Amino acid sequence: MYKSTVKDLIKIELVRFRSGFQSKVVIIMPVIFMILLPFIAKIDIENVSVCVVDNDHSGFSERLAEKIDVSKSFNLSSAENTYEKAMQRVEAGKADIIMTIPQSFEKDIVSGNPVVIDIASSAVSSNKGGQGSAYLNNLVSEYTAELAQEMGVSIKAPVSVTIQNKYNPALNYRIYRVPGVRSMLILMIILCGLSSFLDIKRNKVVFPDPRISAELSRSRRVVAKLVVYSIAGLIVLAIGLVAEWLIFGLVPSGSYVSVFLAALLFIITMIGLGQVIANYSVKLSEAVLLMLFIRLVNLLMSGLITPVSSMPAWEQVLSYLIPSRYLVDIIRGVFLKGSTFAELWISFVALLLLGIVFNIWAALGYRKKEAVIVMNDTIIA
Amino acid sequence: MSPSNNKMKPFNTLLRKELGLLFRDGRTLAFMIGIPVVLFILLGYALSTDLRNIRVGIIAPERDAVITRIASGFEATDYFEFTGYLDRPDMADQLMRQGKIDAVLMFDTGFDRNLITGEGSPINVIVDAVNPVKTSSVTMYVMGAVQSILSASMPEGQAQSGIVSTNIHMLFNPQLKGHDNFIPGLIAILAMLTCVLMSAPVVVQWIAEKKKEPSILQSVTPSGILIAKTTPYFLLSCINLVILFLLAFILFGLPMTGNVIALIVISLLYVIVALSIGLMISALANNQIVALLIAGLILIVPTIMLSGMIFPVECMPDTLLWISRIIPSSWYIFALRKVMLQGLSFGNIYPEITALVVMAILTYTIAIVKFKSRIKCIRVQ
Repeated sequence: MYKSTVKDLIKIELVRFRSGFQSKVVIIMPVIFMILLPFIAKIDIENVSVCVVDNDHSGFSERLAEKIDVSKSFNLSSAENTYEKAMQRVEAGKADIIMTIPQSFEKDIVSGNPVVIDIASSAVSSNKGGQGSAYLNNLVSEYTAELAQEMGVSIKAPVSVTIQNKYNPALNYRIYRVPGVRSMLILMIILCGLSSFLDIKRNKVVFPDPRISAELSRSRRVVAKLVVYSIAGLIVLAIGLVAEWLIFGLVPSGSYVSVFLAALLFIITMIGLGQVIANYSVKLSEAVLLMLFIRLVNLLMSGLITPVSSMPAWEQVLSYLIPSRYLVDIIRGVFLKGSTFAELWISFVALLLLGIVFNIWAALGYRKKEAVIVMNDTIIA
Repeated sequence: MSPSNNKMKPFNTLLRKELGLLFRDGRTLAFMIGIPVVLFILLGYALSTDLRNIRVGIIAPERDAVITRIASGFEATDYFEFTGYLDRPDMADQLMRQGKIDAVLMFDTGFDRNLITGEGSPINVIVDAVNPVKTSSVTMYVMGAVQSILSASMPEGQAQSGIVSTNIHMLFNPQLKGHDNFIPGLIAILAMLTCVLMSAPVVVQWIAEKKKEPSILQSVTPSGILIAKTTPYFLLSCINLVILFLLAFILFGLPMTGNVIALIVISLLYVIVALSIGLMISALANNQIVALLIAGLILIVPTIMLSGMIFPVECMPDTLLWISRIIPSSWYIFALRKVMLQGLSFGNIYPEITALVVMAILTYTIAIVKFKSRIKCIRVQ
């Protein structure tokens, strides 16, 4: 009897990878998003609309309004006479910030009395609200310093603080996001790859050579899948790295070996997880829903978008079970801080352990379930 | 019996059958209700940008009284965690690469003496700037803490200088709570996800069923078929949304300041749009795997990225802004923020209502036209 080798299975997987619908998705989606994401994930704000309520109508207050208008971050939405009218504009979505300049603004400054400018910022989008008002605050203090200089008053603070932003001195959001994009990209490849495990159960229909399907060894099939999807994943990663270098000029300060090793471990882990899902779901829709679950959790709980340290304690503990958390840590470390393998080895080991656990779980679940699984959904090819 | 009653009878039979099928299928129900709830709780807590436990270290040649006071000040609050004194400046770099510390304060010799003599003492703050969003808040918090500790330990009158100060306050979301910002988006995404996944297999399933019992096809109109098959899912989605909103109020303390009826209307509309998108995919896709993959794996990514749930829409370049306009979730999220956070009513959300109505009509029309042509194909065969 013909015995299928891993090589045969790899060939078959390759054919299926090329012909399948998901393989196109696997290639196209990450590329599109890798290019678009830095633009989407921009959070430097521009054109915040400021509505000025000027109760002073003096030279000083008008100069402040002018300064706001000229600034790139702001545009002057309108000048209103009362706070209530300005509020209506905010509610209509036509202004984001209301700045109220008090009466006798100029007079008080000249005579040295303390003046308070009121800034009310719409925090419906907390990013815009927080950042916008902080920018405006800066602008006001710049203006005040300018006025003080003109009037010959010097302001001396007892403590001077200098800030040194390490690894990303200009606080450029795009630089930060791009390595994030890469992890997201790998995530997407693998999670689309997960779907390949859905047809594990229907292998008899799909396999072109009946001799092979008759003599299927479970572990060999898994190995074949691992090989094909790991290579596919690493190739897309390589394309991504080249594109990133060409488009954004970003190269890791650490070594590429760590990046690829982390990606490989991550792929193995996610393939294990995908098999577990395929084993335990009865319907295709269940499997897709579960995959989405994994996908969202990996995307949003990994520290990619919001810092892990902001999560409640129980969730931080839970996040140790999420493979992408380690991937994000490693890739950020390598790309931005130049961390070495020796500094990140805990993350590598954790990823490896998760990979082993999920793959063993998958193998065990498969044997038990093999006999009873029924795919209820009808597929019309 | 009137003719219209006769026409309605097969429709009612079909509807009753579909309702029975869904609500007797405990497993599917558990999945469709359980997974969004678990995801909502996990991600709701995870998507928080509130800073907690910022890890701060201090480098000081001599630990004088003021520096010790600053250190113990960091230990006392929830925001900070004092990791200890570092011996050498290069240790800051090392600890940051390992991800063990967020900020380091560097003092010069004779810090307290210079403070008292008024000579001015510099503090050098080194911040891990890999994540710019986190960095600006970390800087703000650290500076604020240092300032308040210093002003408490300094002689009267010396702490404050400057002529103009600003008074910043946030409208609608006073504490700049990330939750209030993310939760509406999360509700929108989860609702979209479950709705589309539920209705995406409808047409394909129907075509398969129809081969077994062709009699029903003759007696119910195509739109009747679609409506009867999606009504159970519509009910399920409504139950889902009610649960999500309740969780949002109870767990995350989301405010509900606007018109409740406006909230209900816009939510029902959104569910209808999401279900018809599923139907459209279903009618266009060749088989169930493709339908579910489109629904589950492809559609969800742009929805998360471009809807304004995580990344603010107003910062995107124009092209992406327009793409985000054709994503129903972005309209729904706008409307939710307006109604729930800003306390507005129908008068302010009519653009969102109009957009969703147009989308519902458009997607449903495509679904029905395509479905009719597929039925015709089958009849010819």
